[in-house]
Amino acid sequence: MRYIHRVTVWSLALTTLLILVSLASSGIGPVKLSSNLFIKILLTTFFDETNLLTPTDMTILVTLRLPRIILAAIVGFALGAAGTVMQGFFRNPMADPSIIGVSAGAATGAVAVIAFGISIPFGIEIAAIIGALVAAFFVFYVSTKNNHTPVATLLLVGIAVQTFLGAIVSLLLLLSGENLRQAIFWLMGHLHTANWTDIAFTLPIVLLGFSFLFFFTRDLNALYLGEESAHSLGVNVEQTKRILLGVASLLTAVAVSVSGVIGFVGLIIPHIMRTLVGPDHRILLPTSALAGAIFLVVADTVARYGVAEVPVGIVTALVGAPFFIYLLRNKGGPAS
Amino acid sequence: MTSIKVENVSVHIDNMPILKNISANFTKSKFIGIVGPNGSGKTTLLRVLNGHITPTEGDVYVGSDPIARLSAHQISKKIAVVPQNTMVSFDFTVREIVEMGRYPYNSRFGGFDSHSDIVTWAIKQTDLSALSERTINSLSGGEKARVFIARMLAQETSVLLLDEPIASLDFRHTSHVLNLIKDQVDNFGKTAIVVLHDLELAANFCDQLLLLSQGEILSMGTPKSVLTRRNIQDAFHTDVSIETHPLTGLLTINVIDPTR
Repeated sequence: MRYIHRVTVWSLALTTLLILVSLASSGIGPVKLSSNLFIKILLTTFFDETNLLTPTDMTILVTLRLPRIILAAIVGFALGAAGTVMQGFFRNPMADPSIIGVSAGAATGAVAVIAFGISIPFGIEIAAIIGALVAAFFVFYVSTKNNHTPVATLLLVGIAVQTFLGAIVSLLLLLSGENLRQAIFWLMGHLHTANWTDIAFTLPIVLLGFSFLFFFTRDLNALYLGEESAHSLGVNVEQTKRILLGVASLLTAVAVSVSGVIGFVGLIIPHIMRTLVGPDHRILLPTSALAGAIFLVVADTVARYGVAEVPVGIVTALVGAPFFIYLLRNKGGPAS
Repeated sequence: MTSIKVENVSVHIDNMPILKNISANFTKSKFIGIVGPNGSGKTTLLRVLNGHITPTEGDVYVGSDPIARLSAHQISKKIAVVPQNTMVSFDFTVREIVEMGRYPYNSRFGGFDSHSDIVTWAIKQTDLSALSERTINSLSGGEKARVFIARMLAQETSVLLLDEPIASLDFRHTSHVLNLIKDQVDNFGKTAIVVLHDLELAANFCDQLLLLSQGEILSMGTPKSVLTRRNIQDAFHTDVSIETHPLTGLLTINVIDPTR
């Protein structure tokens, strides 16, 4: 029962923190809502005292802030989970959710749509998802020989594809003319376009994908010790690899399609949580997902707090990178 | 208890023949040593025996079942493996790794404590009790090797496959681990198939030896019948003198250095 106990305590604590952070975040923003909003929201949430908030407050809250906060949480949750799985899968603390070209593929699709000024409903999102999945599938297909996919080959092909698609994106940006600003904003990671449709689209996929990954966490533990070990512990190695990589890529693709390329969440969150809860994925995966959600809600609050809107990807990198270096210096390295 | 049978097995990797038409019967309750020069196919043979590699030709039978028909999960309840090198990039504790030996028997999210008796026993058997809460990367090479032997014991299978388990062990733990395996074979009826490089230790601990050379079985049988001066010369291209100690009956093999 030790496991159930630990995972429950951690998850409840992090979920509580996520709710508190979200409530606080809903009262912060460029438009000043009436004072004591935080308390009012709490009252509204728990005691159904709707009349405490003015109609303007309600509009800002419901159409702007809430979808944005919820979407940030979903995206952070997906990136935290996908990053954990990728680091475990590649047995490499440097891995992040986009390691097999998912983000680069999404960026190519989205920027292409923006650059050529194609305007169909959800065009950017659809193009991003298609780009992400095509890139991931391509990397996996090229790396597979005789029904066997060596991890080292995946990593190298992933880097090659990322570099290639990076060049394509640069080229598209050059050609994008007056749409350049929009394209760059998309690339840097953004949540200001969040709406309830985004949530309705991402939430089911992320929750379903997460449940899938959670089911395979023990196999991920076994894979840590090498494929031969995993096989001898009863893991169907190649099938498990395909499932883990496919689902983690899908989670990343969905997250990127609504928010652009938000770096660092999937890299540092699993690190931080590993030092707190240990390497066992059965507890590391859920806690990293929740911590990713908290981190992104906070980062996005910072992003929209200033005079001008800053892409959240800039905030995660500006805050994340120094903090990461601090962690490495103090903990003596990622492997310890 | 399970025996393993190999029938006309050939393995080609990238069109290179690694194993050529191997047939052997590994009967139960035997300590079988696989010896042979580097690159003779010893590790590949072990991987074929646990189903990690599917042979290009031929079949492997676990008991009466062809191994290809068994799932990884079914195999994991019959065969435990100690691989040659195990890199662990993240810091599991010794105990957590030994607990993984219970994966085949536990539900996905259970069993953290339920089998702690056997986990504790396995840790004690491998002389790791004092290190059980240490992280794997803080251990020395020989201590790490013993962690994976403990995991193998915790897996409670009737067949044990070990790839050079004593390569990094010190003097004391070498005989400790080999005696541990021998005890499993003699007193618990297990079948141990162990890749060894030290021919003297192989001769003195194993019931049977299998000498591989360039992917073929050069000789198989009792240690004395396999480790002849001629066989060793054929396999290793090295001239040796072989003596049996008059009192202990232990075999001593010395290289005859032509330059001396």
